[in-house]
Amino acid sequence: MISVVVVFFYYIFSRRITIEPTCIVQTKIKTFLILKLILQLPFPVIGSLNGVHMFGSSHGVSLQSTTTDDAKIVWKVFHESITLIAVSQDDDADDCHMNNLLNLIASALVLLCGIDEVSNIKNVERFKKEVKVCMQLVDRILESPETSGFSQLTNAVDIICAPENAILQNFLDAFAEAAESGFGCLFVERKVCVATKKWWSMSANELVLLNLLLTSLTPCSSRDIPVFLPDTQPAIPHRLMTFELTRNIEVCVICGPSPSLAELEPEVVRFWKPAYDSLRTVGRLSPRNFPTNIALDHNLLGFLLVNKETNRCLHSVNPSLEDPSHLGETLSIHQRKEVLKTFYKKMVGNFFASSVSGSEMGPAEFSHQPMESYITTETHKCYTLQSGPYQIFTLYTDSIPTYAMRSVTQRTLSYLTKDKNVSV
Amino acid sequence: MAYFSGNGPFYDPDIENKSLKENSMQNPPLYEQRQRATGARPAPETRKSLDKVQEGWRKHVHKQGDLFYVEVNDPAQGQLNSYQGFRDQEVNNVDNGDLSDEYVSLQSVQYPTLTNGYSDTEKRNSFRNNNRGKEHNNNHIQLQNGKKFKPKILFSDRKNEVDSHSIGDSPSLSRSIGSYSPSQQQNSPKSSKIKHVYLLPNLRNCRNGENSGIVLCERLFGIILCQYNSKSLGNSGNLERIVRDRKVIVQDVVPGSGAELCGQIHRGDMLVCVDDEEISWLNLDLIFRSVPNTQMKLTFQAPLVVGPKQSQNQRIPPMVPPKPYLNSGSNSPALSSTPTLPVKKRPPMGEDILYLVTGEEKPGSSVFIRNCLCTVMYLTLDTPDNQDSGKDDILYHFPADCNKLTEIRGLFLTLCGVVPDITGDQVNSCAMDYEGVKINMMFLKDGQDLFVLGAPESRIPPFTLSVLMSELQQTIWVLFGSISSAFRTPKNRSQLDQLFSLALHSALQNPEIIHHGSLTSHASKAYADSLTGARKLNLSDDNKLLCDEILSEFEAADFDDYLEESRLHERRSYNILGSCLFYKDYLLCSHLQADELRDVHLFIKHHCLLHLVCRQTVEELVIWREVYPKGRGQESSPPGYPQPRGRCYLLIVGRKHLLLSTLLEVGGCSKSSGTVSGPDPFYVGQAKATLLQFESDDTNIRESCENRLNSELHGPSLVSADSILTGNKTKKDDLIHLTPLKPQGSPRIRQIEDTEAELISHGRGSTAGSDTSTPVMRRQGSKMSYGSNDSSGSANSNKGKQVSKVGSTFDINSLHHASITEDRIIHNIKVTSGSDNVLFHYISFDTVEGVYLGPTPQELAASQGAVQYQVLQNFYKACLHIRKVFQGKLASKNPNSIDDPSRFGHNWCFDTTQEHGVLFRHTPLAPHDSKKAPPTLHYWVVGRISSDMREVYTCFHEAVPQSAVEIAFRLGFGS
Repeated sequence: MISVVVVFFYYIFSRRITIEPTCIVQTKIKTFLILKLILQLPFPVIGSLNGVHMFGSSHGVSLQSTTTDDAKIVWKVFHESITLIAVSQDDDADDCHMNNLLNLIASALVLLCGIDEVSNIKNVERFKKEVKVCMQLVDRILESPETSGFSQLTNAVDIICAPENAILQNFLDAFAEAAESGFGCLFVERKVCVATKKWWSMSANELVLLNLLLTSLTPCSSRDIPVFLPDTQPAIPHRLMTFELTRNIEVCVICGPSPSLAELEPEVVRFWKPAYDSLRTVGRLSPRNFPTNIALDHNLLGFLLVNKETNRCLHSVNPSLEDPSHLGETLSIHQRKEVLKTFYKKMVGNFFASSVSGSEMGPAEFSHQPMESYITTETHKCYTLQSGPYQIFTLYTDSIPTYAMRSVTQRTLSYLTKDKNVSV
Repeated sequence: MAYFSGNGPFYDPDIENKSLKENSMQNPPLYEQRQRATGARPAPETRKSLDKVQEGWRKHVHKQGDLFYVEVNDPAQGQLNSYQGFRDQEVNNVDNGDLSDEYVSLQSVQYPTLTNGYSDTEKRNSFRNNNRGKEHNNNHIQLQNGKKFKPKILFSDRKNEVDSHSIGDSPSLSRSIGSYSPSQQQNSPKSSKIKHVYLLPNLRNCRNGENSGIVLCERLFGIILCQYNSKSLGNSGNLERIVRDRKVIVQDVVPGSGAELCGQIHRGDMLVCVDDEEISWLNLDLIFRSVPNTQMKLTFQAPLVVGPKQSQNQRIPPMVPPKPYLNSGSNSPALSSTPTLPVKKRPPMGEDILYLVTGEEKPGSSVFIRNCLCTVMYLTLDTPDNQDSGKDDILYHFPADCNKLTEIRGLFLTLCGVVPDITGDQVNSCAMDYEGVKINMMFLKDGQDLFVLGAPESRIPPFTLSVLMSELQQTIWVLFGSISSAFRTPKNRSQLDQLFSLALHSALQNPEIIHHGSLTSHASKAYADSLTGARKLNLSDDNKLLCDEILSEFEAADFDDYLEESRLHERRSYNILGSCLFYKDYLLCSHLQADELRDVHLFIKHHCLLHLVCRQTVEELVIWREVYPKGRGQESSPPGYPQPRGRCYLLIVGRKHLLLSTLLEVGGCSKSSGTVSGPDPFYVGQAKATLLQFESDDTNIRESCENRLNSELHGPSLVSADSILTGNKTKKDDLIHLTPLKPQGSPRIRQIEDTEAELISHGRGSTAGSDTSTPVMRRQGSKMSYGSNDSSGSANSNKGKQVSKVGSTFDINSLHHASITEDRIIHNIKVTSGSDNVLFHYISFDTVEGVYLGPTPQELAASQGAVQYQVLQNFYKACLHIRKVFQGKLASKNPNSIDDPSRFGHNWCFDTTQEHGVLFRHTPLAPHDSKKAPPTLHYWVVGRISSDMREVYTCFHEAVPQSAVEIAFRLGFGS
């Protein structure tokens, strides 16, 4: 058995920094295969980065991570055959977040290639070709934090909560039945709108990966992709069929050998035409992501609500649906996302445990359970609390008094979880 | 009182002396006022007499002029208290009685009645008598010719007196007078002078054939043993017995050999064991013929250096009577004679200090370090490639024996070589997993070299380790001037060994060395270690002023009265840059600039000196070292004032539980000196005199400190989590508190104004003498006056409040004020709002000054409990996380990061962090019989960093919504 080392590098470049010549590349992410000389990073450098790790493991020491002033490098071995190395901005957070990301990438390889290909590499050249189908998905996973969603960070799938969800659920169930499949899901603007019961029974990794996979592919009216479910059935190929209903709204089902794409395609129009108006309404809700009847505090710039048990997360960085050009003094939409993500990284792994694997180590150090936390800065304030399966992370303007954040956050959480239209 | 002599103008010492004298004429120091009030003898007289009394450190001066001399009372000394009591009594006698010869004779009569255990008392008595005598004499001389006394006369005077003592006393006393032996009673030779050296035998030097053990030893290890001529041993019948009993003594070490490089083997050492096998002349040849090709452990016993009369060795010259304060210059006779003294007889630094400071023998501690899987290494890529040995890249490593981390050092070198190519900046740390143990490594790249520090995460949290790394780096810088020269110079080896063994034992929290009290713990130590600063104890205003005055007087270097006439008009040999005073592990007072204080404190901290003076009574401690303070010699001085480029020396003198650290400068305005100078007995003496001044019963700082530490009432009062959980009211709740402030409904700034307004109103209330004013309120009044530097509210304003507190080096210290000697009683201070006190713990840290404040052990003990213990554990652990967030703020203020943008950008999100809080929930296990759910405990841990880099960490119950701004304000500005 050949043990092949695949090295993925990923850089996250901040907006301000454009000086370094190696980063003048169109995408913000770069993916390397170790056997290729790509860009300015010479082969020996990548080789020795891997060699350092191998040297350690031959001495019984497993090198986990290293940090410099600004950067962090993480090593991880999967299926005893591939080593993933990630280079990123130092997030000053627990290693579990970077490991989670590498975990997702390894699962992505399994999702598209199958466990046999990944764990038992016989021909390196062939594997290199095989693995190329994953590159789009990997790029999507490593997308810069300003633009990406929260799925890959929280290991819970992004959802959109609309009042129309109940109606759409019926449409979806009927369509999935017609497709002879239990797995059906409706995606609106990169987020899960509704899904069948069986779809929700998949593992968090699978839910997140399927979500990312669909959004990473170039738009097309319908497609049929072979996939393996990395956690539940990593060796059995399934067919993932997707159909675009309208712009940025797709429905997908996972089937066995039948029915074929051609058989199912005519059915789509028949089943979904009556739902067209509802779909349009849900689509318009997108940046807000939760029903308009819920009024939240005007100081709230954004929130992230995670349910550890159902592996769903709801976020909104534009709860008041303002025009982004009229934000004025406050943080931009991208900045809000970045702050919420950084805040999440600081909390989970240190104080909170979540569905991110390894995040339970830090909180276990405390003999009492951390329940709430906050950070205030000169420009914004963040508050988080956990209650039952829920964890809510909120971002406020600096004009909210520090003592008020607790009650406002509690109220926000109860509004969101008690509303019948919201099922996180 | 802020006194920066280092910042002052370039002054002429004479002018300064004059002006200071005039000053002191106009405003006599506070302690003199006190003494006048009590009619006691003026304290400065002690200053004159002390410098030549206890000179035990003299012969321990290292060749380079360094000195590390500690003499410790037996920690198990049971009679300490009784002795103390005796001394107090005696002192009272003195002060009440007339200073006459009668007293002296009285004391000599008392002597024989004392038991042997009181021999240190004897010394003190003799010394006290000396005082009297000298003082007497001094006055006499001054009366006679109106001139300064001659030290030589004094010296002989002292001799006479000593002789008169020894008449009726044990011979040990007379022996100890001349040399003041450090090791007569306490340190039995076996325990203290054994040292283990690990050497690799150089088998290549060894040819086949029959060589004697002596020759083999020289070839293998570079150790030349004393050779005896067998003819001189007499007849052959006795030969075997003599050979068996004769010791194996080191005559010399071969230059360039491993024995010399390790720096621990010296002429006169006795070789006891090889690989734990006892060695004698009988089996010497056998042992050395069968050495394996591995590292061997050689055990030496260093000879005792006790003084001329005990010298077992002809090479020790007779002790020269120390000449009092003649030899402050480098060309003085005493100094030039220093190298001829048997310096090498002294066990080298290293084990000796570890033993002295920790009281533990080396083997046990090295086992502890080995089991911990920690390492300090200095590696280089720049290896000479002609060597075949595999360890050339290690320039230094500690502990001496290899472990897994030294084995994989190639990993560290490669990592630090490769990563900069990718990231564009240097590697700081890495985390590894070895057999289930997570190990963190810290790196510092220095050209081709790499400084590595590693420890398991269970022992040292990563954040604390990174702080330790930067502290060690700075300590090495302070000690040696640069990192690479420190590690690359072989003679520094033993000093580094000593530094790292102490620092690691302390940081890894060797349970046998770091004795946790019942209240402190692993987590609290890890947190305290992450604060790069000294822990401060606040005394009452008067006591603080007293300390300031005594230190200032010392720093003023107004030594005219005690100088010989010939040197009176010379320039001072040293310029005192500043000094600071520690009591146990608390900083009482500092006149050093903040960065200098940090350097000095790092030295003290990493040599565990505070631990030493905290744990046991130190009889005498003198440390003298050339240091390279970081702030000095850099172009950071204010414009228009070029900082003098002189050499700096650190002088630490300790006595009992007090430590006085002084930073001295040569060059600059003082006499410039090209050569390295050893400890100056005159300055050492003056520093000791200053310490004695603190001890004298007019000031009696020890008592003030102990009172402060043992009282529960002076800091912000704490409450126990257990009592809140069970609903029991503590006695504190019955006390009168401040009226609650409203934390809600007003923005941040208004709250501060509210608080101030309230304080002011309280102040008015008390000065107006209204009937409703409680003791707490009255205190508010005086506090207010203190804060505004206005004496109208204070009842004690007549006691020399001319010193402005606003410009003080330690503004933070207004946190709590103990007034021990005052009639003013301070009740507990409540810093939280609401009617009940909900404060569990607090730490206030001033990053700029490098000092932090917290409740005293006694205050913590008052709120002890099982749940409280857990609460505090969580508090410390959470504070580490909070500090890490704050550290990002500090890092972002670094201007370099803006000039030199990194490849990966900087996460700006929490750069301007002000406050970070975590709420914990504790749900006690429900008893089986009760149906209703047990009450839960919620409490906050909140850290706040202000714009002036002051950090406050508090832990309080969540019952009443608190404003951390307000708590921080109250902690920072008194109640």
